[in-house]
Amino acid sequence: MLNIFDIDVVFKDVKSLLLFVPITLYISVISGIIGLVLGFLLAVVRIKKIPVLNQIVGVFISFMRGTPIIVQLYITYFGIPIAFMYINYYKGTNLQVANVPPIVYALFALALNTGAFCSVIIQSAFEAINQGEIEAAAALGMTGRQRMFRIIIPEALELALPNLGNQFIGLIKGTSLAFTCSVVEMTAQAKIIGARGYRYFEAYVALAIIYWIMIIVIEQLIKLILHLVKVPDVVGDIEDKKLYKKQKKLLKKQGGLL
Amino acid sequence: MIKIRDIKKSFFSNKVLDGISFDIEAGDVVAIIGPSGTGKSTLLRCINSITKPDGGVIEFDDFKFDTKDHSKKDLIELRKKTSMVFQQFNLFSKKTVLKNVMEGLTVVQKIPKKEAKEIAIKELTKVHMDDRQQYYPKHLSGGQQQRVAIARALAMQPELLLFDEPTSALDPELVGEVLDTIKEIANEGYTMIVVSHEMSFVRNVATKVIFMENGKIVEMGTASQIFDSPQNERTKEFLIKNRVVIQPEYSI
Repeated sequence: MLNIFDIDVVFKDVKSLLLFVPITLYISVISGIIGLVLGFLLAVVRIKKIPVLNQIVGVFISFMRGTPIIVQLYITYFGIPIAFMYINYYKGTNLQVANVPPIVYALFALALNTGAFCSVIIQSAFEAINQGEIEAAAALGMTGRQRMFRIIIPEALELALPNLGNQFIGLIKGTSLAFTCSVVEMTAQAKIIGARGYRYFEAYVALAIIYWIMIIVIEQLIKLILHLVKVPDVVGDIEDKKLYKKQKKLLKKQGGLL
Repeated sequence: MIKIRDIKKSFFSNKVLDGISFDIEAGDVVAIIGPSGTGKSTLLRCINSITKPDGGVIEFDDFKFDTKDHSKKDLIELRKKTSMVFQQFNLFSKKTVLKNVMEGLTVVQKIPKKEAKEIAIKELTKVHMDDRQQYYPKHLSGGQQQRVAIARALAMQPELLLFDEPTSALDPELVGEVLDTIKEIANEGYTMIVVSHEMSFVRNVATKVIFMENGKIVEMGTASQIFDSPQNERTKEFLIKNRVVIQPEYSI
């Protein structure tokens, strides 16, 4: 049988690449969480228009949005050692680049990148909240902090969630560039496997399948979370259970639910 | 007795409130009327400091609130003494009707949940919304939402209720149910200030009517004084335009 394209190799490659899913997920989740927190802080700086910081954050976001991730990864990978040399020279410390595991570079660059994008998403979500509700909370006598945690954040969360989910999916795919910092994650491993028998095509097909399935699962997860935080389309405990089910079915047909 | 003294507010060069002063006795229903853009809503919002006034003093018996010089604690105290019902209802869209009413009780007044729930249900019954406890605001009509907002304001046991054009965002058919609710509350002896364009409602319910124009109080008096024998020319003109005072179409 002619085997220019060997499907068995694809399956074999999928199996060996699956071992590297945890690394890809690890990079995405850690830099995603750091990015989210950073994005929140940056958004607060921008909304409150804190002088000086606001301008710095503006330039930072513009730079992060205006340069490709791969370039940012290169800059951290080559920039951190240079920064270390300067610090060592002026402070007399003994920081060694060799002590920094390569994954740190990838996490650093991806977290900064995600932070910049998340801050824009979070800022727009905060600005889209109905100001009247915040006024109502103030009129009740709620303090700024109570308003933030009880009214503003729950609402901003719902507004920001679809975009944050998108950002996270982008981040997962962004981790495929981590090989530039000599991190062996899924994509790097696919290259290595491909090089073994010159079956590059099969290795990359296997890689694509895994990414695709991973992201389909994550998309569903995001939908589920969104469904949980959203105000239900139908009221929860109507006395008439039959009517409730009927309404829900109808809405599903119209594409109202999930 | 509540004293409002010399409330001032400008937005840039636009003087919206030019030294407003008046007194409110316990149980008074004060109605503020006047053309659009004369600062009626701004005055209401300045009384609970949602819009920060440029100057003035608000006194509740022995609690004195200087709008220019006060602590954060005083501000919260002022807002606890007042409750506001907004033109756009402003219910918390992510909370159920019951939670909307309970929110202020549990978070601001720190009342235990069980007790807060009892109070909330009691207030919701008062506005005839107790059968919609688990609904979210988006499941309700405008009139129903406004009644819930009234229950939310009442639950806080305020010394002064502020109604900011409570029926302006409702279609004519729903105005009645909200006005009836407010009338019931007024009859219970709550002290309140109502900004409204519903002249017949004001005439029936208000114990004191204030006519405002260009950030100033033009005329102040009982409902019958203002509606039956207005002294000021501007008041007369306004009431004629609003078809409260019927002018003969011709005179011989």
